[in-house]
Amino acid sequence: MKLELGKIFIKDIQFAPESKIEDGILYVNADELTAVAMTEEKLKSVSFDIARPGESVRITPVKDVIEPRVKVEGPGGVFPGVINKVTTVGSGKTYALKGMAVVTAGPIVGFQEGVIDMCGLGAEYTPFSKTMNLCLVAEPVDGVEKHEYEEAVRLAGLKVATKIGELARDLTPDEVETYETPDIAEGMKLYPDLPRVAYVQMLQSQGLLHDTYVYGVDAKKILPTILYPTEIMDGAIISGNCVSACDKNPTYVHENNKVVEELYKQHGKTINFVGQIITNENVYLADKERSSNQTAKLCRMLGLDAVIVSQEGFGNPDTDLIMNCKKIEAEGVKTVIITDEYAGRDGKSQSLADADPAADAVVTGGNANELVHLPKLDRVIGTLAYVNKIAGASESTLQPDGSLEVELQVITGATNETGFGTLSAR
Amino acid sequence: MKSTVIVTNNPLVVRKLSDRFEVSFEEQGYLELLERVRDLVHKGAVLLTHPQAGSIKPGETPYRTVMVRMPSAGAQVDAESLSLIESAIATTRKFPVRTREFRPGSLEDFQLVDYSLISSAVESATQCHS
Repeated sequence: MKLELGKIFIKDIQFAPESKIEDGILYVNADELTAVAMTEEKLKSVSFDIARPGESVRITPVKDVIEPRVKVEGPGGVFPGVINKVTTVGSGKTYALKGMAVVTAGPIVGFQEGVIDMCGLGAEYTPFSKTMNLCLVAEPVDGVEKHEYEEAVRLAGLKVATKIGELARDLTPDEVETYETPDIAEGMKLYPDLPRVAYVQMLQSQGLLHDTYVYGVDAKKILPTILYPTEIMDGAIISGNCVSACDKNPTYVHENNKVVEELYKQHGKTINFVGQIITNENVYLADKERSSNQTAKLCRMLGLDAVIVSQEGFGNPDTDLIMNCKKIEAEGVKTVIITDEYAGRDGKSQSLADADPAADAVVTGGNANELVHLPKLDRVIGTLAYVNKIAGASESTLQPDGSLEVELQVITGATNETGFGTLSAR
Repeated sequence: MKSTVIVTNNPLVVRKLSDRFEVSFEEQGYLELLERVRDLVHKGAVLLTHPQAGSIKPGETPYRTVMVRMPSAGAQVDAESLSLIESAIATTRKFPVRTREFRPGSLEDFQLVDYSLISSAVESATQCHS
């Protein structure tokens, strides 16, 4: 399967009477986008705002971040099974609006949403301070259940991103990158001397408000399966969760998975990148057993030499991570696992809730408990009303001078477990 | 599902699941709830859900719910369950309890998130009997 990804670089976003992209500037008509978002009946109101890198702006409570894309050639459309038909995507030609994002915000589960600072120390920790952000703040109609509110914001965000992506349909991309994964039989012959490597991606799937969707299906209900990695570049996986901000994978991260990108870079040089296995992180112990068994089985079926395993979230998913690692290693397949740490504010506590000697190659996204002091910023998109409640915050988070004392946990994407973050060891 | 018991300190779980399951509720802290589950494991109960929350640190929420299968007479201690619950207790002790910081607005959210985790397990439990 081969996908050409055309990149269109967006230098600025401006409100204007007509929605269009011209000379790298995205002009949006806010009323038009409001009408798109308000097709979600559970929403009472939506408002749009723009946050640019370097501006003194704090966006919170952040729910999802989405990169607008449009499929210009080949089967299907972006976000299959959710926005477009459930056609298998990942081939043909897709355009992506680089350097910008649609950020959805709203207090769905007050304590589980995130913060994006566009300048200052906080901006260094979130990858989304570097994108031009079109922010959609959504209020629910009265009496709506939280999970209905979540669904409405999720779909409104995807619809708005799709609408914006469509503006690029007839443009010529600034840059084109081609990704290709051969079928299994051909792949076996192509690089006989290179190690066969796959990517095992664990998806958050612990129930309402903790969900990820694959082609529109709740990942909780899937058996582990194999994807061509280009499928996710067309939005086959989307985020539907309200879990800890620092290490959940927003939709943007699924569209731009760094593990996939890096494995493609090495494909044919140091490794033979065979494909992507997706699995889930359920709460029921029999589900954990079944999914890790199936994941290990797929690794064996594919004749792999090694896998990279990435986790999403923390806590009991640490057990899924270690089960995957142990069982895959038992099949004779080497593993490198990517996680993050909850090692206490001093970094001295044990980092994971589970461990095993088989997990001897571990990459960390950083310590989510590390305490940081974020300066007061001039403008807030969304509301600060929930900031004391966000996981990683406390009563004393919002200081009298308007600054915030928080753990990295509150910052969207700060300790991402697909290598999307900016932290490194020292 | 006769031998399945939902052990909880979350009043929302009682309200939502009591009509379908045996729910054992006590008003107690997070750690005390885990210790109550451990005592059941000592008597031979088998854990059906992971005792640790997902994406929320112990000490950050006051609520926890665990589903267990109650032992039949003369049951042995299930080693795997014991190891899971002991490690959950050890992890919980590692984190400071921030109970004094829990306020009414967040309490409802914490109850909801705990409930959403266990209801996801209920869904699995009703279609899987291993």
